Amino acid sequence: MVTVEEEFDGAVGTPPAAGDYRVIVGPQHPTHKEPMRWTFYVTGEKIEAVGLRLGYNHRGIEKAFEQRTWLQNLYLAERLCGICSNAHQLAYVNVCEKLANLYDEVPERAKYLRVLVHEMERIHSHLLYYGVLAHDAAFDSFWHLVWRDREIIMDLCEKITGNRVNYAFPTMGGARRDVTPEQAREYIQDLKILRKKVEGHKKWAEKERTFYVRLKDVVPLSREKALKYCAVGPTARASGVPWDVRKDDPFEVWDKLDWKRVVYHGCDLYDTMRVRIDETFQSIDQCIQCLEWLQDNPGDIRIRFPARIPPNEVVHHVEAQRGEDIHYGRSNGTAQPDRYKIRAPTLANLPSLCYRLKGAYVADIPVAIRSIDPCIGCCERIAIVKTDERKVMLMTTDEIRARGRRFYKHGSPIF
Amino acid sequence: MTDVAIEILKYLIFPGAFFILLWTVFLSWWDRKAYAKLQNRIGPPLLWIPQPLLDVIKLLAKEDITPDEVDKYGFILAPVGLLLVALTTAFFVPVYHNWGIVSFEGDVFVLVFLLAIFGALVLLMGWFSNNPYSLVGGGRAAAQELAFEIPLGLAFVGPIILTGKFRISEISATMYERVIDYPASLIPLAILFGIALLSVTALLEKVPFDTPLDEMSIVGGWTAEYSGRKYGFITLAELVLEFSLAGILAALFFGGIPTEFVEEMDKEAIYVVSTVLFLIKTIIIVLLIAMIRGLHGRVRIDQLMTMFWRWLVPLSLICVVAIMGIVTYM
Repeated sequence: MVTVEEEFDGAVGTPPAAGDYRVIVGPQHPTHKEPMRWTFYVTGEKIEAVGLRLGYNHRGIEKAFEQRTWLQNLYLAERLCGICSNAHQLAYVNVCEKLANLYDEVPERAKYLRVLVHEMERIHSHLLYYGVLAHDAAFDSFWHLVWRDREIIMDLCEKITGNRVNYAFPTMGGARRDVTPEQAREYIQDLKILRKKVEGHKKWAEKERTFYVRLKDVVPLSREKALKYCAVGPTARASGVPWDVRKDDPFEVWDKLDWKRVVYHGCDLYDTMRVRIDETFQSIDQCIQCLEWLQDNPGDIRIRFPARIPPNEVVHHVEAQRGEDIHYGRSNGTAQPDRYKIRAPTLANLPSLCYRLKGAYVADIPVAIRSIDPCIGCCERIAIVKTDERKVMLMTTDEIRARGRRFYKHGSPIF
Repeated sequence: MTDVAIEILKYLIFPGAFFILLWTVFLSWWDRKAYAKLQNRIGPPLLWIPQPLLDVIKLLAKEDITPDEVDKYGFILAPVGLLLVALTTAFFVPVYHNWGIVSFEGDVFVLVFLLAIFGALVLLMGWFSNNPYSLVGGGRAAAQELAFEIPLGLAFVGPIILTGKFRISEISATMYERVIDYPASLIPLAILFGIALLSVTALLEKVPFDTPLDEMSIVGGWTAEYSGRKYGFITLAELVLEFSLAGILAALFFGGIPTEFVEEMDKEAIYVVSTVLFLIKTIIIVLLIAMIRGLHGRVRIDQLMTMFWRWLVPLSLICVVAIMGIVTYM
């Protein structure tokens, strides 16, 4: 058996004295769809201390941004993540347009199209979320049926953008594809069918007793703690923090659509699930409104965008499915960005998750980690590597690359 | 000489080892198929070799790893013990004409004892594996064993009191007449059947009571370190146990062919009819288990303990007392 050792291999903090033994979850574990390493110091089944180590999926994308042109980066931005690909691309496109002072000249039709695809992505992400949440609580029938219904929205995404996952839909100065009025009518019908199915999901998820007891009052996060640990997105809105970028700092055309923000005050996993199910309804309504507007208002969907952007600096945020996604860009008059920085919502939610997991049971680990819908692909781009010898090492991309070359040539260890 | 040969064939072919394994495999396939249909999936096909048997064959052919850190002898012997216990319980099942191969006065209690050994072996396997996941899984299995054993035992006491017999075959044979005599006993008996079904689901470690095997948080629990042949033995033991528990529940709660019919029919016909009835009853019970599995999520171990100790133990006691009252005063 592994006992509590002197060394503490979490990323932050000092070694805890408490705990009989430690349960290590990750980097490869059925709970995780992407690699991260949790160390739980456990007494019986109760978690006394939590350690978290990230950095298994670092790809140096921010550095890569600086070495490519603005247009090439469009395709890099959507590859930050699979599920929130459109959110990052939309934020990138908005940053570019604001840097070039062209944001107000983008045609309104293009903005409606972008909002449509963004909300469709939110629908499929939320369906994925509560399906996998049910799977984490071994409620597999619900999972299978939700994912069956998710195919409706995935097919719709494919019809509109040509892809099921990485849409490549928004572009600098507009959108890439258009929707004809006949198509819009057909898609509205599909969305109405989906709405009925989601109503069924809501009813079933709230009614099933074994699912309810696994989520209700589990790993609570109060409003004060949510604010203190800077939780964002549905995690914050389930704790009564009414922060939604689409409402509070509207961009694109969200201020012209008729929809309500979803806030619950239960502060537990059950309410994070309910926030997402209710947001799915709101998103479906927004999509239908966008499609109705697109039916009646034909027009251009793109303007010309310059290859070089004059020196400027912009911070922009969008409401991704998992929360507020902040992009910072700095241009220097060339065709390449001077600096590009991304703060993904998962990174903002991780501190509150570490706080929540203290005092929980081992059985709550999968559902609790799932509650923030972790997306390590977006989250990890920092070039800080911590080695086993308790040393902090700041490594540049060149250094990592040199070590990589040595590894392939001579077989010497990378880290 | 012929008698001895027939006895040996009984143990080996029907209703012995060969039949047990055959029907076990079919029931397991049926369980998975029903579960898949509930989830709008296709499920495993029933070819000339059903899927569960192929699974076991594949596991037996896989590389068999014994990690360095484990307790070697215990780690290797425990799965064998598990399979032996499961096969022993299977011999108690009355397949045809209300008779199991092994049948003696008081075999119900021996059966409950064997099931307790099963739980103890699971705890030991978690301990021998020397791994936090397995340890947590084994601990949960032990806690779960303590929780469901009493309701399961009390559920078995219901039919015993109703019929006044201590032998599974005799309970099964007289069940029908006794229920005709005391129709009011059907209600507590039905509740006891529900309790027994839930306890059996917990014993087989299926959703919603599969906390010891929780593959999301503790990666398979006490089975985490097992692979290859040893894991094949564990799988086979669980499949056989599902068969025997379905058979025992069928015998104790659904009853067998009553004695007056037995006297009227020929010997051959009674064998065929009773066997077919047994098969149908087990299919129904496994379908019920699959539905419990499909329609619920996994509960936490503390919620499971609360459910069994706070609700099912008192409920089963009340039902047993009710049957006692009905038999005594009506």
